[in-house]
Amino acid sequence: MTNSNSPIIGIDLGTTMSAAAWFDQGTVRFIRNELDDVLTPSVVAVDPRTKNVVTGRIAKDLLASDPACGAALFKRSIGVDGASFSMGDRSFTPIELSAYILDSLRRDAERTFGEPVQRCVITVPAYFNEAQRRATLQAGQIAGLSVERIVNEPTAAAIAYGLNESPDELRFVVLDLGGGTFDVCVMEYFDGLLEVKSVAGKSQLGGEDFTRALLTLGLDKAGIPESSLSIGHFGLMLRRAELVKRQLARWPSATLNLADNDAEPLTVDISAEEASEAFQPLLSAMLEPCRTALRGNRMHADEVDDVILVGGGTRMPCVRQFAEDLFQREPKMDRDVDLVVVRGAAIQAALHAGDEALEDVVVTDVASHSLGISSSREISGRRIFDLFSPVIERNTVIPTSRSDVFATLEDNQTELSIEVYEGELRQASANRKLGEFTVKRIPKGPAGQQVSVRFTYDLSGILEVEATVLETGESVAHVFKRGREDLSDTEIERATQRMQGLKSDPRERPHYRDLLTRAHLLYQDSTGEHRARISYYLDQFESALSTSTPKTIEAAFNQLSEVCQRLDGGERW
Amino acid sequence: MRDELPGTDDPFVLLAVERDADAKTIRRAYVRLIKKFRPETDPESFKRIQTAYESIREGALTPPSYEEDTPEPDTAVITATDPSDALTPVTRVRERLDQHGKDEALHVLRKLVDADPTDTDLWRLGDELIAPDGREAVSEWWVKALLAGAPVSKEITGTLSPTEAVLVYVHDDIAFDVLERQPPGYERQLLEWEWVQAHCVTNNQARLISTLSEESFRRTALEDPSRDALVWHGAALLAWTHPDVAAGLMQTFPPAAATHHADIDRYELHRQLAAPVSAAAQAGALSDADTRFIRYQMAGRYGEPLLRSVLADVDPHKLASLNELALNHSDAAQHFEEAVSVWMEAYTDEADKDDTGWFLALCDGLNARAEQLGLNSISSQALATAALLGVAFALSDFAAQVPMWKILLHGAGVFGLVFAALVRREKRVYASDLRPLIENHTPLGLTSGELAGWIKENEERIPELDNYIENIREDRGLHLLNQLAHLKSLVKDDRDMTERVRRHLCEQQPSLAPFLEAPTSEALTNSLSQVLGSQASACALFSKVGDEDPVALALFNQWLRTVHGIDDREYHDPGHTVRSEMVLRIKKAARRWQWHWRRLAYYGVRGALLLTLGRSLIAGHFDIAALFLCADIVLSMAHRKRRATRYARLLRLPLWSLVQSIAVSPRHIEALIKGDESVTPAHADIVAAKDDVVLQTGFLLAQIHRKRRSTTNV
Repeated sequence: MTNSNSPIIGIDLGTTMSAAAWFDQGTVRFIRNELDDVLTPSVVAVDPRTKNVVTGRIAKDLLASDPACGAALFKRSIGVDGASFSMGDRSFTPIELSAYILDSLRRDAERTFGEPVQRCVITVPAYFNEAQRRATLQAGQIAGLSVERIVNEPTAAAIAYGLNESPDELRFVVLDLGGGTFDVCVMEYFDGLLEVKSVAGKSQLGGEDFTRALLTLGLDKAGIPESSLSIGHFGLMLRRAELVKRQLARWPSATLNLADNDAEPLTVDISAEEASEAFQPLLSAMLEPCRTALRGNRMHADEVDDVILVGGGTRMPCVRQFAEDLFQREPKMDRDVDLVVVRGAAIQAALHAGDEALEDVVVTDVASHSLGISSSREISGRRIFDLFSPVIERNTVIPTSRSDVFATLEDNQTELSIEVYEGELRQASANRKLGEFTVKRIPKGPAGQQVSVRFTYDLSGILEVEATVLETGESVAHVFKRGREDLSDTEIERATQRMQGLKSDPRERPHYRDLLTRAHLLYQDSTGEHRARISYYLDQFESALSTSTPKTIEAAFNQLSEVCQRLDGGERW
Repeated sequence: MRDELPGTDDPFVLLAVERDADAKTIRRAYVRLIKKFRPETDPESFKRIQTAYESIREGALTPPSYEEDTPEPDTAVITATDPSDALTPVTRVRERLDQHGKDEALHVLRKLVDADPTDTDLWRLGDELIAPDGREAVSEWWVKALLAGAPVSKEITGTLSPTEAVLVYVHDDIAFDVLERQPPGYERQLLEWEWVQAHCVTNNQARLISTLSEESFRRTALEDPSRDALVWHGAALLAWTHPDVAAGLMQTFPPAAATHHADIDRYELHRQLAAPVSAAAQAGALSDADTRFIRYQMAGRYGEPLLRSVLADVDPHKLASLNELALNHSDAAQHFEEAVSVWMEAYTDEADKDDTGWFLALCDGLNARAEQLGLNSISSQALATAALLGVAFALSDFAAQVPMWKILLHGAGVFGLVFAALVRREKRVYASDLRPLIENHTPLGLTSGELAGWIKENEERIPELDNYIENIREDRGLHLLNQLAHLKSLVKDDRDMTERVRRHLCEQQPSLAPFLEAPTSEALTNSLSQVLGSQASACALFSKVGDEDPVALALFNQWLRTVHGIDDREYHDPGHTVRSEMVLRIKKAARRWQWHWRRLAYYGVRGALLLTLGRSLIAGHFDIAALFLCADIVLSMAHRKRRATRYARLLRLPLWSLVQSIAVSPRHIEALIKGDESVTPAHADIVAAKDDVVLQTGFLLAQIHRKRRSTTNV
């Protein structure tokens, strides 16, 4: 199924921007989209005119004028139960929306390579939980991609950074402030080994929050209540606030126009100082994950050799200042701060493919959340239920396999329910539940019959939980596969088909359009038999475009382009 | 080569570090391992390594025990009574440092280290004093400590792993001693192996191998079959030095395991070990150690057949399958020849005059070993190689020290004997067979007494022979052609050589005329392959000799290869039934003698050549001997086709003539075996038979020379 010749591409599926790249003979090459941009905005919209689904820059432009016709920032809701975005009269899940972006990246890659691309590595915020990762995988599957691996964004950034610098030994921290997430990652580099030591983060804190804070500040200053704005107006305001945020990165003050498109300008001046004051709560919120991550590696802030800033949000001076204050050193920042993650993703993809150029490099990652089961305990005669007993602790190097022994609580207890949770809270049910299964046929006897529970967590995100009754040796295994559990294969198939149905008009595809133009030109130029042949294949292609499946379209496309090629010999004007 | 992790749960063994290794060493070992066993590709091994690494680190994090922290309770008292005695060595040095400076402190330090080399505090201080990063500077002290009986440990070597300390920074002799001190076991095996890899081969390897106990090998082999590639390699070397140990090992080592993993890995090991040597040879930088490496490489390779023969006594079925493997591994066998030729080339340019003795020793050793172990016919390859080396050495400056003809005789003689034995017995050759051959049929005056007698008898001829050889060595091309002309003139003819070549060829092969007018190699090939490649001549050749005659088979096969350039695939072609039949016969014979048939063919021809050469020398026909020496050079060049592809086309043609000319040799071989002096060909007969060969060989060599020159000009 997979084509092993085509490279595995690395994809940064960002909150605001996405990109793809691959690793070719020691260097990372970026995949450009149809508009020749490396960055594709993570925006999906339904063109109100044609009812076609569009993505990227076009969608972003559409969204700017009519926020109701499309969706952005859906990555923030991915993996959240029941989340959906309505566009026009239709509604989409964040998974589907992500799939549209992935699909467009895949098509860009296929155009670049001239062959089908199926395998990829996708980055996610380090602090993404199981459900979010699983959802990302599903989006990949729907987009026709086989996701070989999910990589944490700061890890990817660190790969890109660490492999550039490669000193002998280095401890560094990656701060990744993306559009919608904030991740902290403590890394160590040693002799070709890049280790993620600990990760922490906040999934609802990102550059967009800063933009909103800025807008709120502007609205406050102008005395306009936020609730009075229409959705369209608010979207426009956000876009302007974004621009002001960027201006404030360079200028001491900027002007925000709060008026609607046609109305008289209503401006407020915002100084950098005011802005940074407004950002203060957000910056404070960033402090906690930083501390958590350092604690995870038993480090102090001043033991860090380097601080790397990743993600568009770190362009803000206040964020840089924050990092400098915290770590007491000037943070480093890549020139292409938006591309660091995708660059790392490409390298990770190459690592996965066993690229020779990376023979001497190995990257290890950690589990970003603890995984464990719910248990009860008897403390001084009182029973406490719903306790979370982690089996795989957070920041454990993956792939890993850990086990722990649990015991029955009642005499003659013959069944034990294993509830698997992910999270850090002491109360099991306050964490995210991944699933449960039951161990049966425990031999009757006094309380304390031992059951060993083994968690095996691999790089591709498959968690296998195996419970063994120690006395009988009988074991029950339960596999929590990402992307397979919630969504069956047929469901993915259905989603894929649904997406096919929603896909933009095939005619809109640039290379189809291009061939049509070319064939029409040739038709005009030729006579007699040639003309008849072009006409025949042009008819075929056009009818295929209007009615048929992608496969037929492709076949007709190939036939027509072959004819064109023969007639014009590849000479184009 | 696919590595496997040791099948143990001991984290220290898994990471191959000392129990008291420091964090950095452990980490380095960990990184090295996970680069091999990556989380992406080998998650199971990765998990084991990770677990081991973590468990060691967690152990290291536990606080030191109370006792260690407890200060000496009565220190203060002693200090009060006698200050100088109570000072620890370290404090004494520090005091010196403060009072008299660094040099003085170092002086004291050295004395103290001499007194108690195991005091690790002193080394740390030495580290500090001499150079904060001066590993080399301090290493001599470590060595002293190691020799004084301190275990090889992290404590001693500070930041260095034992491997580094012992194998990299410390002199070889000391490394050897340290290794010897290590208890037998996995760690030691690893160290030994690393040592071998780091140094290729030194004298000490021989010592090391000779000290390996049977138990040590057996234990490793049985406990950890995954490492049997190493064991096999070691065992092969071992067989060379300690056949009795090897035999014991083979009896306990499950042969099944050998047939499963060992063989391919073993050849891979050989290949890997040989690679740096080949590279060095090509760069013209063969060191003493490299030449020794080749020697041991060979010992290893030809130790294997010895092991096989041991195996034969254990289980005949296994032997059969091993033989299958051997037959399929002709590449590996060829590899050795490549190494030799690389080496030979290097030696013709740059002599290593100190290392002259070993070849003869090798020949003797091979003979002795053959007698001792009762060789089967596979092992006689070793003897054949001795002959090959004889020729190789004859062409090297090495001959300046050891009379070349002596080696030549020796090598050719040994080979000829083995070959003759093969011909006669059609089965395994045992030492008991060789001995009467050597004693009763010594056509080349092999035994030293006879050799001495022969030298005495022919004393006045020796400078003449040496002269030929000298010339051959100087230039194998045009110069040799001139020498041959000179040779001819010495015998009877003084006409212009080149003209004779032309005329003769025109007479014999009219189709050559176009080529002679415009001599390009292509024209040569085209016009001659027709004439010389006819199937009829091959059949005629074959019909002359008995079906079961390996020489005839070999000749025929040589013809197939050189003239037609066919390979195995074509044998199924129905149009080539005659060929198929012949090849099948060769293969059959090869199988019976447990040779690879290609090798049989090659050695068959070479054996015939060398044998004739030997006869010529005995008969005093130095001109003919030189001719056959040339023929042998040509043949070996053709054989190394991969290395000399541009000659290959040229070589096709004259080889056919060579083959035809020596087709008479089976008769001579018969005579040799029977000791029938009456059949020994007269000088005149051979001259008659060789005329074509002389001319064509000279012509060929001239071509080669011209070709080489034109290539240089371009």
